[in-house]
Amino acid sequence: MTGALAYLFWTTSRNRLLTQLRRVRNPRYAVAFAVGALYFWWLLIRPAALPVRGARVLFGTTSAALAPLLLVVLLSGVWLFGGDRTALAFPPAEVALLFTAPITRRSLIVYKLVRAQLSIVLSSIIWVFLLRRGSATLPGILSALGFWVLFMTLAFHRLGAALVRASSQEHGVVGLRRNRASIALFATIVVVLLMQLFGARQSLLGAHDAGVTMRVLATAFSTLPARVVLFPFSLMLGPTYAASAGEWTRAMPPALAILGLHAWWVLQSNVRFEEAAVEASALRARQLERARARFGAAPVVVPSSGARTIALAATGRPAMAVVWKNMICLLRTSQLRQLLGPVMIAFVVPFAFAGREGDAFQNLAVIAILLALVLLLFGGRSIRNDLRSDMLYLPLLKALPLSARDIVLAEVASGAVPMAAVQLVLLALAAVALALSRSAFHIPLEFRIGALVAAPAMLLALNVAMFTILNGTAVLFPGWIRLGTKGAAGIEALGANMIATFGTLLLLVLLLVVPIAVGIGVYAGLHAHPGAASALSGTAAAVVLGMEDYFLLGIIGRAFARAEPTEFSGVES
Amino acid sequence: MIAVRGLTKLYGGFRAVNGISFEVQRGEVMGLVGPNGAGKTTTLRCLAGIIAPTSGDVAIAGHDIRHDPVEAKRALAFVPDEPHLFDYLTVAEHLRFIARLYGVRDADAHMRMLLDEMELTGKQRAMPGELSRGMRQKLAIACGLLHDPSVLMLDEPLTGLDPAGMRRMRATITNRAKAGAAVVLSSHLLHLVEELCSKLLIVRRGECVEYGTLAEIIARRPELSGRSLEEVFLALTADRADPLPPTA
Repeated sequence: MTGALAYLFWTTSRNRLLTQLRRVRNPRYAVAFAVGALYFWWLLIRPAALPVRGARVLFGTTSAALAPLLLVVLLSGVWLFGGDRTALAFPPAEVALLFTAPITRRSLIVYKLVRAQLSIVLSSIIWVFLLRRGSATLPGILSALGFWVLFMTLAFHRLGAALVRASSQEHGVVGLRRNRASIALFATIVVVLLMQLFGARQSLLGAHDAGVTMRVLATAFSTLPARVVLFPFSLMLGPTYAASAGEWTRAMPPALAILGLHAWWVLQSNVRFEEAAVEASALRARQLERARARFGAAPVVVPSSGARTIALAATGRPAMAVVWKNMICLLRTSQLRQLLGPVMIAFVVPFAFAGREGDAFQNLAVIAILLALVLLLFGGRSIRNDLRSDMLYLPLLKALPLSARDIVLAEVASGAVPMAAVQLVLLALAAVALALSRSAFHIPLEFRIGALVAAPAMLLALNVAMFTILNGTAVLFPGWIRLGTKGAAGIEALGANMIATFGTLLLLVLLLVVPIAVGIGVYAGLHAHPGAASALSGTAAAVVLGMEDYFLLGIIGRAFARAEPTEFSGVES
Repeated sequence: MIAVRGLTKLYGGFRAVNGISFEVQRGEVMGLVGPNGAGKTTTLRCLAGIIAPTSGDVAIAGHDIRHDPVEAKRALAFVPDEPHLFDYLTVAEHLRFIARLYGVRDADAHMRMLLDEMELTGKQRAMPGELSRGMRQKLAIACGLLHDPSVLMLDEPLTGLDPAGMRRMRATITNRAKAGAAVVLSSHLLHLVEELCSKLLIVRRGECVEYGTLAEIIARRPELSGRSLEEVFLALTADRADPLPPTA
């Protein structure tokens, strides 16, 4: 690797670490770091209480026999379906600066592998902690080295396969011919394993549970010729499955030899991979955005969704334009699936899993109520068509001819109204299902009707409260949550996320104290008429909560009016 | 149309803008120029109500931006140097969104005219991600012009535009001013400023160095007589006093 690349690697790593350390000096991030670290300790290191079943399953005899097969399946995705197009991805700055610089392709590949060390070393350590109970007799450092060799070999393999793909893209048939040895070798392995699987089909069809199926597969792939083609993969896994230092010492040289072969294979390549790398970089950027959207970090536009739209009247309350914009966002991003998914689950799951004796309608009612509750408590974290996305457009929002309070109200309504509507559908579904159910689980009809009458107001007030808190977090404490697709990563980000979740729920509980007290009071006064009592107590509670929401919106509106773009983008001139 | 008195903006202890005052009347185009980091964008953001001034008064079309922000913003358009567009709205939907916000009458006809003017007619259904940098800039400009603002603030409006787009934009600015709009134009393209602007506000390190027409500025600085705007700019904003080259 050239001196410049070594310098880039060193300075990038150092600056990233320093930035994180500097951030942790801030008390807010220090608390978040402590919470995140505590979580990792609980997950990885805490003594005695770790569940060991997973480790035992992973290190059992059957699993050990099938692990090489799993590696082949993983790598088949790379070879047969091109599933690893991002192996050649570089960050945009590196594409712009390094690909145009007088640096050899080999240097770039070495640089990429060196840069991957951080995640490889970290993965090795995490696996050692996660699985330490399965190979307790092997010292942790040896186990970590075993994982490192395995992950490095896989990294070389992914890169090698991506280079073969790049070569065939560039040269077509000539490129395929140039790499015929690699392709033929892997094709042979796959064909042999498929033939072995075909031979064991009778035993597999006769297997009555997962355990027997696993044992049949283990037996099938432990015999010739599958055993021969899986042998190199067994060698790769040898150090990770070693039960003692002696076994590890014997397993390491062949694993290192395979790693060396992979290194030679990748480094002797002189494929023009730049174009493929640029494509891979763009693909990885899109994948990252989608992954963040899946985990509720940000709405990402679903390709070719531009045709679906909602009409907007040219005249009327201006703030409705913001609601309309956010509804379009919901319609055209992956968030729509997250919103409607629970309704589909409520419909499908009870009927799919109801046995002959089961009561599908009762199951449907229970699942619908549970999903409504989950959506109420956590749905707001995945539907983010509000200030959590729009704070990045703060200059644009603040230039609009709308008061700060109107903007905040419109943003909150954009998430709260559709969320309340979905929950209402789920509750209505539950009510209908309960009416059709044969179960003894019975709620008086009068009460049910009263509850359904109060439900729209209650759900709206509850969701407005929840979304007001979440939007308030974006305005008042932008450092605690991820805005758009941008945000901090690392232990402190994880801790901040946990604190924000806990804080949101705590504030919601506090907001509910007075409305619940009022609701209980009204119900107690009218309990002789369950229908009227449930309808009026629910409505009264909703009205009180609505008043609290109004007060909270005022506070956030004032904070929004004071907010400055520098706090949210870090850019100012 | 625009009246600014003692505008000051502090970021902690840093004075991004320090006591700037100026006025722009109907039909005037004022060039806001200064080196990088002089406080041009901060000034424009204060004028547009995006950030609150630490002290000083800003009135847009007679409305104080702090006390009557909605009415002030209804009269103005701010086109930033980097177009801020929503990823999930098409070109036509951006314009429809703005039309509703500003209550634009006969919005469809206005939209058609602007799409034509900005050469975006075939792109109504395109998402911002499908547009080039120049086209996104044109869309941001179209959004700014849709409600026919009486105050127009443009931060580097020609960035990313092709030569034809630049020529059209110059004509648009001139026509809007002729129609009675007060325009503030911030740009590093000094020939553009010289061509379009009737007066100048030159800022350096957040402070006003000179304000007035080019003739007025030169009258106050006789040593700059016969110099181009570029030379005047360099002489007034340089950190160290480089000797001026002899005049031709």
